[in-house]
Amino acid sequence: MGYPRYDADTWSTYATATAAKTHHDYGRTSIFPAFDPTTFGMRESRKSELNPNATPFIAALDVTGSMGRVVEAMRKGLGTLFEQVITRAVIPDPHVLAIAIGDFECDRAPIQATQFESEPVTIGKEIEDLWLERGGGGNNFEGYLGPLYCAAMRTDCDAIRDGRKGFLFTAGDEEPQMVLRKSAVKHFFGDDIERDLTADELISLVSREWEYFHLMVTEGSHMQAHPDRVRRAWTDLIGQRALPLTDHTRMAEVIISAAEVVSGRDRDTVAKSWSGSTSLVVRNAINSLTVSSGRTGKGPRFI
Amino acid sequence: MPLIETLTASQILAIAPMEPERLFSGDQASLRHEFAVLAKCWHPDRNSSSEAAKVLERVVALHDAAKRKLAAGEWSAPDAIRIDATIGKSFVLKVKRRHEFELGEMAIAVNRVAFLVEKEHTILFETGLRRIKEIRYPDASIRGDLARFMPDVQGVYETAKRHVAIIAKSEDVVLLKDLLAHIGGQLPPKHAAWVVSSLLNLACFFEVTGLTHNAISPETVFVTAKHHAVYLLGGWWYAAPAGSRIELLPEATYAVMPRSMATSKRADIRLDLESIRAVGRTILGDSTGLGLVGHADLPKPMASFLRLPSSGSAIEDYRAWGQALKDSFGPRRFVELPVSSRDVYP
Repeated sequence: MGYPRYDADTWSTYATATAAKTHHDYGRTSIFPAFDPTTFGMRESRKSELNPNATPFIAALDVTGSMGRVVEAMRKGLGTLFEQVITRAVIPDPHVLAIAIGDFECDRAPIQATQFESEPVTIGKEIEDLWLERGGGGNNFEGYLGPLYCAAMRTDCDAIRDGRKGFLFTAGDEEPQMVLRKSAVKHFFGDDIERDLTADELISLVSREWEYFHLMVTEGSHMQAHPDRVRRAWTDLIGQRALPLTDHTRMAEVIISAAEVVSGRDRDTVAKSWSGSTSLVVRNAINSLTVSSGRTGKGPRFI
Repeated sequence: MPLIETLTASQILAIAPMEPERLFSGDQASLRHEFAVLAKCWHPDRNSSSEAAKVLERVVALHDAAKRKLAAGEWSAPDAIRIDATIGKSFVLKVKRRHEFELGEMAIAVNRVAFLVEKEHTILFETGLRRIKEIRYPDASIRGDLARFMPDVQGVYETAKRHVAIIAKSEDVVLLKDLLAHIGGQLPPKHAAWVVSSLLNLACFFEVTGLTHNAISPETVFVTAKHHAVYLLGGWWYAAPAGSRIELLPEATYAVMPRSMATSKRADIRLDLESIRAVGRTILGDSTGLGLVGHADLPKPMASFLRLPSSGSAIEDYRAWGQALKDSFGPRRFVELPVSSRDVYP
């Protein structure tokens, strides 16, 4: 999937027509079968004449409780995401796949995945087809490991085959999930695996091919109630890749900024590239983000 | 040497950038002509192969190396290395294949392998030799089973710029990377299976004896296709007792290092286990493993094992791999791979 390309006019028409929509208007009452991982094999991001250097982005969004507004904010920010990625020209040819995250212990559809799409209208319409189950349990975490398993085992991206990394963002307001159960993988992905997978194992696995970040949605009710606990848990797990998202309507800008910083662009320059309050939200998110200098020359690698 | 325009992409890519002697003739006029022929064959404007750009890049690198060597009077016969030891001893090693690696050069002869390590890596060289010497077998039976798959150091020399270790091997043993290049970059799944099984067997031995190798890759593993035997002759420079501090790794294993090791900087068998899975993916022709899970010819249990993380225990991984193979192929059967060392190193 993902062969057309961003067109400002087409996006503008779609955005205007759907501007009044909120997350309460999402109409599905069960999972769209095509988004159910038990029904599909691999999600593919392929290069094409229009997108010769397709770069996969996965935005995996918590849809439990009141978090549906994050999904809608993402949908509304898609135009910005495509337009800015293309205009800034730091990262080529975005291909975006959206995932809805629920709770593997309580929900009926804790993992739903769209296709990779190369322009915002198609992916926007697919996002409208996600089922906002609004479930979740009282276990202090959501199924944040589902997207990692999905990225590692259910995507096949030309960029990665060519030696470039994709960008994977999870977003939510609860603590990290620490174990993905074998039984959940069987039930919700249809895959037989040998044993449970820990967060550390899945992050190691996915980090070989994806730049992984988690956006801590500070406006979420759980994070407002337990800000230190949530922040500490994520920072302990993924360090500086745990980014505070203080305004969920600026998620697209934060995603672009984090991707640019790990691609080598200066952090301050990136923050200053946005205007007004967006700049503050971005700076707050990427303030601790540093990039290793990478490898120069031959010889062994220092750990 | 076959006609230069008939060389395939994998044959050209199998030539290390510092081995122009394996591609070009050793005089300026021939070099110019041969380069022009190859550039015409492999320029992406003329050649629609997906590997054309990569091949052209390698041809250009080899051409540059050839020009440098000819200008410096360093053009050598492609099949010989002269070793002038500082103690006065000199000898010529007739070699079948030469490869650059991150510490220097590896030269593969008929019945030995020479590792020529730059002196800036003296500590790693000495550590490697010490680790080989320190390999301990719990009993004579295990020694009988496994010692032949470990390095047998036949000589250690020092030249002006390098340390040299000569390791014995039998004639039918070839570098896994060379075997892979010879058969087109991909082993059939049943043959990838015995490579991974043998490596996991060695990892069990390492786990039991508290050793970690830390550099298992197609560039350090040798095999005999005929007997399905796997020898771990290279990469010992990074070996360390489990739990001890380590600072350096080759690129291939650094890329699959678990996060916990990056934090602890302690040797952990987990790295060998992840490296073995990476070897499995690579010899199946897909180092990322992205295409393995949906691959029509590859049984799903085998693909899933190679793509997913290790359990952290060699013995548990060996058991799980055995189960994956059984689920993939049924009872074990010997399947011949009709490739000899003479095919790989003509």
